Amino acid sequence: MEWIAVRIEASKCTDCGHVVVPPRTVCPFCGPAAKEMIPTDLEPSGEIVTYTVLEMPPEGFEAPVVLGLVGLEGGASVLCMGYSKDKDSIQIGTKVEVFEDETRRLRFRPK
Amino acid sequence: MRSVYVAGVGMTRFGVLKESLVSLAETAAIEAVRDSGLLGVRIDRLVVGAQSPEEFAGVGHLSTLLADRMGVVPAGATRVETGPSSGSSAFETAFVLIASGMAETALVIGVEKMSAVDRGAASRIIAKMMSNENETRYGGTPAAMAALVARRYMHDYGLTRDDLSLVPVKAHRNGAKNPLAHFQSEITVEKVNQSKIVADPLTLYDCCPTSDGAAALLLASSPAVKKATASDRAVRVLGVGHATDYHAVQHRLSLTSMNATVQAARAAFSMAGVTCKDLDVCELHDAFSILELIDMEDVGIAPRGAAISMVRDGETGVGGRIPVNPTGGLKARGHPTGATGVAQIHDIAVQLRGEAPSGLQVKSARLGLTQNIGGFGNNMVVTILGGA
Repeated sequence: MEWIAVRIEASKCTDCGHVVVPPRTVCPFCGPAAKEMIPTDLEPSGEIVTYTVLEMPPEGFEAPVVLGLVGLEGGASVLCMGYSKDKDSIQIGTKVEVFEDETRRLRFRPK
Repeated sequence: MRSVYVAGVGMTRFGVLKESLVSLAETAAIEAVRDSGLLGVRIDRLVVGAQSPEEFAGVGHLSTLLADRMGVVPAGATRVETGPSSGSSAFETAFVLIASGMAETALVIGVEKMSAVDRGAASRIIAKMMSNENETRYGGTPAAMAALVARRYMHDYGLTRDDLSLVPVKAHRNGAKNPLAHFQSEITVEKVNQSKIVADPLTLYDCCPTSDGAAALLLASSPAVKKATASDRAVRVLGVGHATDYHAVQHRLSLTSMNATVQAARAAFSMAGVTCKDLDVCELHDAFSILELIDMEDVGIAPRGAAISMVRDGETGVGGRIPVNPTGGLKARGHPTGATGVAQIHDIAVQLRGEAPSGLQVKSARLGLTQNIGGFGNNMVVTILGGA
């Protein structure tokens, strides 16, 4: 499976500077009285902040499910699915690229 | 604000039980009212904590139904829902009703009946508390989120798998002596390590069960509690704090600390006028083993990264310096979600009355704390209770 790298849609708070994925209208850190969030998009690359391999996933998923929290270079963190073939080559700090799959879910794989 | 007392407590056994949702609630509530000795006193309000009785048990309009079944009509009745902290949130609502002077007595019932649906259905119902947009549609479950947190905590603080296993071992050691616990048998570090992996690095024994059960409290004002035959056993509510964190884990500012606990604990300590150093006993929300360590650090009884050394040294055992979860915690006592927060307060009240089960009583316990988590780490209630 090959996916085309896309830029990741996000929003940036013009008050506190926090970046949130997916985009929102109200900054979760500043509340409704703050200045507006502006649309932005992020480079689809970052590093693994933490990860797990689910051996007992929920219905509709087949074990093992690899999940990684990826800290994007643009500042936001996103939970992404990985690929089971990569499960032994992931560590905290591993550089990854992020894709959007045909179900519009984010996926990562080591660079 | 007026003083509020826990005048009576009641609780069913937790586990996979035959009794219906309503029957469990009735049993705990009758026990709480009888325990208070306030038999002739009118109950002004009923507050019910339940996460999802509609989906787990097919029962709607639970507060009115229980007001009728408990014979407290025309008492105002309310159901409160904040996920697995629903029980503590119900307690908070009842506390405010009495503290404000709007009620003299309030019956709090926490209840959940989770075994009437199959495991897959139960998991789907529980998963609704998580962010679908950022977590559930990726396969994220509460256990997966706890595993992400555990992995990062191990990385940052050097926590080992063997050490983490000491947490459920302690839970089961206490649960084995608690006649109301879901699990009443001891386990070993080897058993935890070798049990099936749920979400690496967490195994089955790092995770609490889903349970059936109910707990209840009769809260009373100072004038009301004086009418109780057992008023000398009443426990005073000294502090309550309640705070949220971001819905999805990815938006939080820390993975190894839960800010909602920090904020709720700060508010509760401030209201009570005490510090974490004054505590004699704690009931913390150990839905996953890693959470007990983080909870200890967030309420302030352990420095960052140092909770495990206290567990290893036995300081959190029943006879230790600051006992944590002497009745088994969620891991061994069980976790009927809406009932858990009320059960924690029940268990602390029993400790402060000196009536804990044999082998679980903390010596001269005068000040206790409960911490109850809703969602995965995002809707926390902390209470502080003291001897009257």
